[in-house]
Amino acid sequence: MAHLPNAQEKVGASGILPVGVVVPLRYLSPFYTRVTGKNPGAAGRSSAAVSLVAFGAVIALLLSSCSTSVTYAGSSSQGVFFKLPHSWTLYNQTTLQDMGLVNPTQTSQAEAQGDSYQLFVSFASPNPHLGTHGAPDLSGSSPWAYNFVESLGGSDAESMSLSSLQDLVLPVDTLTQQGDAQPLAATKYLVKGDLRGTRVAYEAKSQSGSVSFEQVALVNSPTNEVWVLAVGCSPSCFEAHRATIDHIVDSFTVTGQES
Amino acid sequence: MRWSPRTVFNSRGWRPALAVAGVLALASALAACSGNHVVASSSQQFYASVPSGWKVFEAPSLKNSSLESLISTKPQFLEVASASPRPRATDAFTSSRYPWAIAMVRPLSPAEQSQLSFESMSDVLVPVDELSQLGDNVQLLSQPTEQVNGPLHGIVLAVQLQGPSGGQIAYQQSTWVNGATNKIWLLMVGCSPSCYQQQQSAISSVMSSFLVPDNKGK
Repeated sequence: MAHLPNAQEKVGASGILPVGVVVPLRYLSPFYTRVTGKNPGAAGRSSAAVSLVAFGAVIALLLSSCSTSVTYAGSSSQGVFFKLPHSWTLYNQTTLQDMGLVNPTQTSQAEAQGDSYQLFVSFASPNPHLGTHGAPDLSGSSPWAYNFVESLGGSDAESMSLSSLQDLVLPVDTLTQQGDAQPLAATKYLVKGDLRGTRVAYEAKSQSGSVSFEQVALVNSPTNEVWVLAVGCSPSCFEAHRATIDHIVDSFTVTGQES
Repeated sequence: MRWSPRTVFNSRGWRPALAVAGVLALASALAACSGNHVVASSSQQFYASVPSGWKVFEAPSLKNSSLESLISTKPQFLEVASASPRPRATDAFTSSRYPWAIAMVRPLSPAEQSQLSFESMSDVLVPVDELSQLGDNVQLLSQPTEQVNGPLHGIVLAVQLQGPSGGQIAYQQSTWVNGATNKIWLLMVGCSPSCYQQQQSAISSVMSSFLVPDNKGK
């Protein structure tokens, strides 16, 4: 499972994806695609779809340049975008590796073995030092946004359900059964084109304290790729920043890839 | 023996209904040309065709059948067909020497909606996994194959197991689930294992006729 590094490892057994799976660096940067014109994530897909996504990215970038209040994050090659307040910092790849969110070696191995592996990871916070020295402090007073796209391996694809989508960041199903997590809102089932998914909000215990977060997770129709955005912080921070967090989650857009 | 084509229409939205009706009309025409019967529901967007020698029965005919005992949620559409020279609705899901077909559309409960995966789709009518875990002799005749059509997704598989009224049953099953994961379409065609071998061509033909139109958002 792509649990965040400081999730309670004692409940990791409920995970459906391998821990710490990551991706070659070439996949991780939307900047790579823009600069080189190469789109490694879209190999084998129609050029029309790629052009459409690229056009969307250009429009998004142009629109973002018109506004000083938001920053667009995401990956054009993975067809995922969301808006962050301008004051938030998008962490670079070195920091993501330091935080344990990215591990190119493990990703390559997982891909070679046919297991699930990450195609894209981003992490942002108004606090630029939230995770610069190891795992990020999810239960602190600074909000964070964690986005990833994952290719599902055979067994994960077979067992993926709307219920298991909510366990992609923290194993809330197991935590709930243990009394260590509670929903903050009713689960919303989402259908967006050929994608299906859930929007959930939970307060859960982690090793560093309680964390509240809102999460949208979508899976494509063949059930071989998931797009996830989780935004959260400590329960008191979550309440204080609820409007901002809702805006970020509301902005989560997945154009996806052709099924 | 020839039977007239049967189609059930309970339209709601006229646009999707019109599109589906068009598909069904074309399918019916093709079925008529080939001497097949159409097993279809416009309102539930289900279409399949069976050979003209098969008799089609509607849901009320299934009272007290072994199939009825398998159905926990009231279907939105249920018909069965039998190729037996003395066809009965209760032929469905038995080790008959003649093929039968089960066509069903039903809603998924909130729990099923949440938990359904490719893995668990094989269990929507017959609890194959559970039977296997209980020690029943359940044999996969073909590995489950995933199928995708727009937001619709599902599996096709073939299984042999002990029937509820005794005797081995071999069947193929195709299931489709919508994007909202709140509705399932199922077609099962089977009979005794020896019949299954002999009638493979007819069974495959019925299975390949199964169509659930891809209506976005459904």
